[in-house]
Amino acid sequence: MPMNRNDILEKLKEILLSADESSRDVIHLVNENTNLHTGLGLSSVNMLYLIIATEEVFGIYFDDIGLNELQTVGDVMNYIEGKLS
Amino acid sequence: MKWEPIECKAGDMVRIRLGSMYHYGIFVSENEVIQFGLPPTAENRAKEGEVAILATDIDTFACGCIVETACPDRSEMKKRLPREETVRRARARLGETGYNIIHNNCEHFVHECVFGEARCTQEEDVRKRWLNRPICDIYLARIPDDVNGEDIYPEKRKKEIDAIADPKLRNNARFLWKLLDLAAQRSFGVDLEHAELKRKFGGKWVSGKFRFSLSSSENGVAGVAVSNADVELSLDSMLRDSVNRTLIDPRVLVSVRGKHKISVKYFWADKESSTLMGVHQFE
Repeated sequence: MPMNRNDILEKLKEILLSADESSRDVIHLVNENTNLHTGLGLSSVNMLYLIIATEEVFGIYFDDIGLNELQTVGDVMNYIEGKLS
Repeated sequence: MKWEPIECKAGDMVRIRLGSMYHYGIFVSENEVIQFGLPPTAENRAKEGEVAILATDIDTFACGCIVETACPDRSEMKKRLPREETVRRARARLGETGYNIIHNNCEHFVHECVFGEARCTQEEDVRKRWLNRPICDIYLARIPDDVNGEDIYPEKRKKEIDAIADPKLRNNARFLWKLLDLAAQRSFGVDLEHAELKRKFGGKWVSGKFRFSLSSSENGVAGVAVSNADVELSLDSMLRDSVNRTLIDPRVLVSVRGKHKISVKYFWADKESSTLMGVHQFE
């Protein structure tokens, strides 16, 4: 079943929730423009968690991108979409 | 492997802690620590250019942090390469690029130089944390009137459902099984064809990949709970020692007994659409 952008966003929210339950209120409001660092305050370990969990959930490999290129939730969604297409 | 702030020898694996992550290198001398990229401080991250394997002095490597040295245990000592070989391998890779934070980072590099095999324990720990996270998801959906009887796995279950005489019960059973397929895919990344489903003595179906429980309500709502621990779901009636919530539209009591925290995923099926309407948390 192909995933649409909304499905991808929901999956990312689930991953973020599992990384940091205490930020549930912030994660609930996450959208494509949310900044991973300034908006969500992801630590380097949680950033790693997001990437690894994304690999597991979507069956993709982050093999051709640096973490610095992933600034917003939308950047991660674009990368996933590109890999799935 | 233990790490101690002790004196280093040529060929030792060394590391510093930066925030919650470590940066690794191969110690050769006070003037030569070989590492994949500079320590990821804010200042170094801002520098332009591709990350490469390079040598710095120990102070640049440490960047003000305590340097820890790997102290392999007996079994690890047997696996480690001779120190000269470690140094030779590290030097041979100077200038190499292709850095990747997950699949080819500074820890992969030092492991390969010391043990001949690239690995990253930080990545392994984080992946384990994800794979072992507690899962208990409940999917709720309106049962459509005429559910297609095809694509139900395994065949044995399809035959069981097809044999149900009451059309309404048969329709409910088909939909519950399809909702289970969706839940298995969404929560565990596995479809029912690969879920190692088997029927236990007594007629209860179980999966080798996850635990599940099915229930439906009088007013046409289907519920599926999937978890990586024991779970029991009931719509309409309250289970003992359970977490309960009454949903308003349509009105249904959701009662669940499980080990983990529970998220409820509304999946209001409209002509078997696969749209997930929202994710809510049970408190």
